[in-house]
Amino acid sequence: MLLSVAACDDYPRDPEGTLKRIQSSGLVRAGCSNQPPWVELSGAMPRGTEVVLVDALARELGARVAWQGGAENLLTKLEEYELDVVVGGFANDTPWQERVAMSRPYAEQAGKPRVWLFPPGENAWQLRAERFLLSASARQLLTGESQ
Amino acid sequence: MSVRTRRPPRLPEEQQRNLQRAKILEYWTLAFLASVSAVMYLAMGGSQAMKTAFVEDLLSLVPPVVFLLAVRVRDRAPDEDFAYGHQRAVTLAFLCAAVALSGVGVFLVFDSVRTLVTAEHPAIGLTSLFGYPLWSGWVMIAALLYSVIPPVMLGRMKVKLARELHDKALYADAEMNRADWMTGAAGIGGIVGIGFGWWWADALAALVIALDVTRDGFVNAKRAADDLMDHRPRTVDRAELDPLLSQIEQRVRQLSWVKQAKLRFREEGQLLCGEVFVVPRDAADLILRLDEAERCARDTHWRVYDVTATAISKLD
Repeated sequence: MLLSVAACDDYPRDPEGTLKRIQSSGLVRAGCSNQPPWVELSGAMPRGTEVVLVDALARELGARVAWQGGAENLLTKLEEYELDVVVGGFANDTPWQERVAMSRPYAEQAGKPRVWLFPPGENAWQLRAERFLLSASARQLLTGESQ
Repeated sequence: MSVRTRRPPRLPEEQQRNLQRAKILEYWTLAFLASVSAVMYLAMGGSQAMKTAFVEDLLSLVPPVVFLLAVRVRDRAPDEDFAYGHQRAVTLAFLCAAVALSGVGVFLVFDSVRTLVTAEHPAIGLTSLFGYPLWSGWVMIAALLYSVIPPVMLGRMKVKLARELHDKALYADAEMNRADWMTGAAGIGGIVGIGFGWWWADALAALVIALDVTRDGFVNAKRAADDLMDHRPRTVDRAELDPLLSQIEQRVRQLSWVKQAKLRFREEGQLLCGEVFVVPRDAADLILRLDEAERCARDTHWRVYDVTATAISKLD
């Protein structure tokens, strides 16, 4: 047991196996709600900073992204493990943090720290995504997009 | 109406030193609880787990605070209003501490059952320690380790002093320390379990400990209530018949003029008070002899405080 803890690759793990499923199926199921400049749903495909970031994270994991738009039911789906991540410029005071997991703030806009939302308790997946948000490549995309 | 107050109780020097040590331990406990709350806040932020730990810390403050209050009240000399003195403050503190202990237990039972029933998956994400990103679970485990060590040490020292001083309020506080470190240890196990993908691990570990704490709290609250209702004196930890009673009885029986003797005693805080009923062999010098019986009972131990000897014709 201690050995597997020491081998940090596989620790912590997801109760619902999200990260493993993403890696084996090659699909990130992402939800996005319209909130420019983070997410813009005006065109045929979602655009915006967070859309670019989720795409880049998926590429790192050898996966592509299946996007779902819409509003409220995105978070219900996230809560029920039917989505892997929901973005849309959420602030870290979103009332949804009681029901789904929230990343650490990784950017700021209008004085409010911005976060991503994850399924509750999928700690390996969330950790992987949060590490990505802190990575140099993500920072680069973030500054590049906002210019 | 004129009142004959009791003489003020006096602790022997050794016990005064023990009491002083106990007071210092309680101040350390308060300081430690404040620092643990701060560390937990830094490690867990405003999460639900944090709120739970905070409520628990708040309730853990009760036993040391009521102990320190009771020590102050108890030292007041008997006066016309309180002719029997103030030493029952210790029993009252014992009751408060035991109720707080039960409160911690019940609260944790509800909290962990709620988590299990709603299948709440605890999310433990990334944190940054000195600019280095790592899993918050590790930080929480470190914080819990910090929170576990002091109560183990404080609790052990308090149990020893509580036996010496026969102070049940102090003993209940030691039990609270035990609850604290056991919950902390369960929390460590729980977070390690969460890391293995067992979302229920933390709640289940907490539930097992919470049930133990609740039982402990209820047992102690019952004992405190019993003591307030003048239950026969019992030992601090195992609630066995206080061995001092048979010692008192034996000493009184050994007086040459005593034919038979029986006791009726109660605990007032850490002190023993009550009546000695004696059947004398004859009625000569009865007043002086009863004084002698009272002295004889009191000299058994420092805890024997107020004794009234009564002569009766026969034991029923």
